Amino acid sequence: MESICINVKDITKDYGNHKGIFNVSFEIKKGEIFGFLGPNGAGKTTTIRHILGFSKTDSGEAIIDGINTWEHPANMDGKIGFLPGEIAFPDNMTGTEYIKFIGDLQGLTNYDRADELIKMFGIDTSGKIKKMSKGMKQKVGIVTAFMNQPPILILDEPTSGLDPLMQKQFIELVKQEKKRGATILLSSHMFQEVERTCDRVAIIRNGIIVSELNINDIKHNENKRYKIEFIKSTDYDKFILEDLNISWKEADKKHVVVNVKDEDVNEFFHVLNKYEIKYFSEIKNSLEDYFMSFYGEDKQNDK
Amino acid sequence: MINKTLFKQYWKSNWKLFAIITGVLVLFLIMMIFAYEQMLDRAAESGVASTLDLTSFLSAAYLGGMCLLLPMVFTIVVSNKAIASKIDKGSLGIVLSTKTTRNQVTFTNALGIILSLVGMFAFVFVGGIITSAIMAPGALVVLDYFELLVGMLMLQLALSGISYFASCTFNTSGRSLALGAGIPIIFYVISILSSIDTSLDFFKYFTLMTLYNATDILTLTFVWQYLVLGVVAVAGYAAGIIIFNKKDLPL
Repeated sequence: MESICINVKDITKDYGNHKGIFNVSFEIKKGEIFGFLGPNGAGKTTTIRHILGFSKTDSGEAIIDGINTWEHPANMDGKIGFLPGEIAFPDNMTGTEYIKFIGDLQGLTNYDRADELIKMFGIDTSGKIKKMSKGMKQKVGIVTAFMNQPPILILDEPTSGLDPLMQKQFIELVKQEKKRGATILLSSHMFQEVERTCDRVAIIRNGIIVSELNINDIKHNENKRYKIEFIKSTDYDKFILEDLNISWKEADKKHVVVNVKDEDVNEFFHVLNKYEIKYFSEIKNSLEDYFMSFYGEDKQNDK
Repeated sequence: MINKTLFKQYWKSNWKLFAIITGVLVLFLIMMIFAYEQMLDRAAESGVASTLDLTSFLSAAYLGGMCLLLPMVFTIVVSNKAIASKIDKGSLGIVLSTKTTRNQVTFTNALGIILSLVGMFAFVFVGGIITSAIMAPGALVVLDYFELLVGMLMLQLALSGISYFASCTFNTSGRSLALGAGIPIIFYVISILSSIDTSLDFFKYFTLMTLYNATDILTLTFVWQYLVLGVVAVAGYAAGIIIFNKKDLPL
């Protein structure tokens, strides 16, 4: 059995007014990349605070490597690399001074990895941090979180403020870290970076975990969706009466979206044969669609 | 408990304010001794011998004024910066994700503030001795001067204990300053009020400043007052450190 690295056990923290997190549970295995998905204010940062031992739970506990993080925060053993959601720095330091400051606190003696990361993200560390752009500050935060190659990385919205090129670079970095064997909790509201990097994902909404799933289950879902446009309205009218799982239709454009299980796909094509089709395409299942099924209820026309 | 890197960081971010406040304090002291010298000269010219000695003069003109207010401003600013402001801004989050513990943060900054105050008064002590030796040789009773400064230092430590407690307790600079600056300032205002008129004398029981009393200090009846100030200082710092260790940090 794979060993559990981070264990969030039934944590509740009630701030009143329905704010907080409620019975949040998940386990992250050693070496796993775990995505934590939800919009701002859903409870991602609150959960992270408890994992880091910054906050005491009302009930439940956060455990890292078997130790309760409120009683003994894992950072004390040098296990944590942390990139906060809203990054802030001490006044009046240059990038170089700050990296050295955090390095000293980490007990870091070899700065080779730090230099690699500085190069990888193209950071100019000579200037005062105060004067840096948001993206540049974020990159400095990435350097300090990753430079001592900790076994556990807690990343709260790590790519906020980064341009698309740097977001890609960051995904590369996370993949490198996975190879190294790091355990990573990646909180985000960016589907792509979660989809590309994470093994498993938990979706949080209003402080409650609404779903937990394997990314592979989405990528290799046996429920496929196909979009079809007909040439003739008569075909359209006839088609929608077929015994199929039609999830969406639009009469004036003669568009139909059909849900089909892989095992029924041949039967589906037999039906399609009877019609004149303008085009036909598969709608790729994405994490975003899955996510929206929890969040975008009012926007969807599903019955 | 003490973290070398954080201690360096404390001085790096506070040495300028420390230098300015200490510099102004010493400069003011030099001016006061100079003024005393002028006063003596004028008294001698008019043929009246002055009975006011330098130590009493400094006690009245310097210690209760600048020497009370400036270090107070220093601790108010530095205490807030040490903890509450770092939570307010969020810069403590990454620091507390390294091997650094909460106690290291609070103990190290407390040590920094206490040493700053001790250092500040050491400069004032040495500065007073050197200046008086040059301008008015023999006029300063060193032991009395020393005792007065120790008394004022104790008062400052007690006030800094309050400010530090506030900084450790609250998560925003605003709230930390409301208490950490508010209480020392209220104490100061009350002490002024109580000295205006004898009918307002009872106000003195509502301010810590009363525990610094030059007359009592010089007649050596001050031991219990020091003790109270010491207890307030220790209680303030200790309570702050304990509360900070147990509270939720919104980082």
